[in-house]
Amino acid sequence: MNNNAVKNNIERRDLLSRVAGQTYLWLLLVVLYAPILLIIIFSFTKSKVFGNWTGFTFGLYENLLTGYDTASQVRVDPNLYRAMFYTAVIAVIAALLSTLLGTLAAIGIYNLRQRTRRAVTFLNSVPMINPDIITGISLFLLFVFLGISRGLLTVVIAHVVFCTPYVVLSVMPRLTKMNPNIYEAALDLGATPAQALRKVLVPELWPGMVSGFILSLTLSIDDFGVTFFTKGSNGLETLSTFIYADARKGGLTPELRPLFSLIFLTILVLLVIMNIRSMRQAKKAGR
Amino acid sequence: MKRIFYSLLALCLALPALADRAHTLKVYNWADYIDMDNVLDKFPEWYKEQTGEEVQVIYQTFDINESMLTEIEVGHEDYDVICPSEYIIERMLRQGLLLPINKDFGGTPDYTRLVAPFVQDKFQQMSPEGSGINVSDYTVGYMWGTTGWLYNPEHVQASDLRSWGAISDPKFKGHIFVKDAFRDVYSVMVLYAYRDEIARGEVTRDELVAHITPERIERVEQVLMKAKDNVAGWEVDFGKEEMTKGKAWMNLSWSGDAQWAIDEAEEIGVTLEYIVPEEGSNVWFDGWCIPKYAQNTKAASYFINYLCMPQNAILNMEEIGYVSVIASPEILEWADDDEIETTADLSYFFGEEATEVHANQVLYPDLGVIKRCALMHDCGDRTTDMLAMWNRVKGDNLNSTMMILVIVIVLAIVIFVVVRAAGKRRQRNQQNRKRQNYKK
Repeated sequence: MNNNAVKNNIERRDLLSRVAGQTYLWLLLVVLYAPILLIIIFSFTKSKVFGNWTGFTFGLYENLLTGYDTASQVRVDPNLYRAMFYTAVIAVIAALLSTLLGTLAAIGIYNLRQRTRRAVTFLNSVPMINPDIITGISLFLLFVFLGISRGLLTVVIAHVVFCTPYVVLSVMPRLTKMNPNIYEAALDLGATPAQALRKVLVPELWPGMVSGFILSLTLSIDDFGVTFFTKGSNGLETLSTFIYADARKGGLTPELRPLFSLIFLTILVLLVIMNIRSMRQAKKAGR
Repeated sequence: MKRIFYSLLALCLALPALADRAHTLKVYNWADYIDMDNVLDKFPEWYKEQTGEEVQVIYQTFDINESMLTEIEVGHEDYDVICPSEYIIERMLRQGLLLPINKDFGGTPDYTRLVAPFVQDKFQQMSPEGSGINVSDYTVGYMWGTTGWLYNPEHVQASDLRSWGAISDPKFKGHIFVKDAFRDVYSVMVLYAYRDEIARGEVTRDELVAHITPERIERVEQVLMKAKDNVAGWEVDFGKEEMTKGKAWMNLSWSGDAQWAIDEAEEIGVTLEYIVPEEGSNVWFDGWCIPKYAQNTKAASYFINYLCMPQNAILNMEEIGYVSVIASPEILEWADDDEIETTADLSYFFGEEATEVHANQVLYPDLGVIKRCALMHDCGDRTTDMLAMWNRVKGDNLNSTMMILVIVIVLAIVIFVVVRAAGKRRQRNQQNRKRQNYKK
């Protein structure tokens, strides 16, 4: 009798915790994805005011891809395309540079003595904790002080500044896990330090470098505060600064809705592919 | 790999392929504030016709006056022509940050003369005291407007909105949106707060709006505090959308924004209207000027002249929905629309013949309304007080109970962490001692 009651209690508690867990999970997913879903839904209607549904149409996608709105004979703001282009260019360059810099820095930090290492690691974490605005304004003042005119160069420098610490953080775990004798073994076997770096260290650190690179890409595309203050007066805009000025009057340009949807779709597809690949690799390794 | 990297780097540092600085014109304007296809893009062609020189236009947009001012003041950015609001023009004149516009256009007619005298007079009020500067030498107006109530006639009657006091009317609780612009809200609410004094002739509207005293800030704060619970939100850009969707019934906003909302709402079948209450309102202006660090002042002056051409003014007005300061016979003809039944006295703008014009009164208010409007000025030293008042009204500040609560929570967390760390250390020491005992 007692056993049955206890079992029922346990089952009921299990069911309850499962239901509660599932509800919480779904609630979280809805809160996270509802805004994106809304944008995707409203990218299929041509109203200027977000939230008004004026009929299903691919019109906005057409406008975005051709740069021209045939209905009202108006060009889509060309600054939008330039902003997209520069966002991508700055992200790639900044990510490449900061991956390079971050990897070298991580190798250097790894070879320091314990005390200096802790100090430098602390210094490394400062740009990460610092709010964007502070980094942006201080770089702005620095460039003004040094007389460097603000433009593409300063934006790339600024992005490298705040992306490098994250690369260091991605690469360090690979360094600590790595067998420290590999490098010496390579030297013993006749490799020059440069060859050892290229053929032994880099392949070991490669996963950390890749994840650092992707992280830098994301951070750079996402950034507003730093870019805003360092972009200067040469017509340089990234997507975030363009949208910031655009939102001021008349609401967001409708063509941004299909743009967001396409970006979201691209990232979703990439993630799915990456996950499928790593699942396949895990299966292969498991066998 | 290296080759790809270096070529990419070189490619990107070379972009954009700029013409040399002497043949570039850097324009800095609000977003969505010019007709890009028909006006902006045709400028290099027009400039070549007039002067025989090439020019490449780099067009950038800013979100608020202050970020534009910071870039120029602190960053010494070399924009050639900018479009600030009137109070920033006033501030820049005072700080010597503007260059005079060179109106010696050679064979090209000077279209800047076509700016309505009404506007030029108001501009002259912005001249720094004792400087004798003729403001029209430094800036040419672009668009102007008033501040008023954008409302939905289905839910709100025009008669309810004859006063700014409607902001505290409990009938509209939760359906009122107010622009998060402390300068504009102050200047209309001060006219409301002092309406009796104005009626008795003790003080003029110009005086109230131009000279900000602690006493006036106090009175406005009282009015706004009473209205605070009534107001649904302080918005910058989504008020228009709320109005077109019918969620908001009233929006305290600018006439240009109101016109945009009215047009948008018409497309989905909602009617909106705009009214300026009887206590009065402010007139606001944007103006083109040449900042101090500009490097192509010739093209800048020509650009400003180009925008004053009546056909360009009309194209801009139709594209962005605001109303231009240019008053020429072509504009009067454009504004006179027989489909509009009511007439307005626009003699203050177009001259003596324009006493009965069938014009859209959102864009071109009647003379009676204009007489009750005052020009806003730079707050100057009073800016901190105004901002403090505005923050209190919007409820951005923490009151003392919240502060105490926050401090208590933070202390509790700190104490918890410290105690746990101490506990762990004690545990570790105990284990070490035990181990030493075993070794013995």
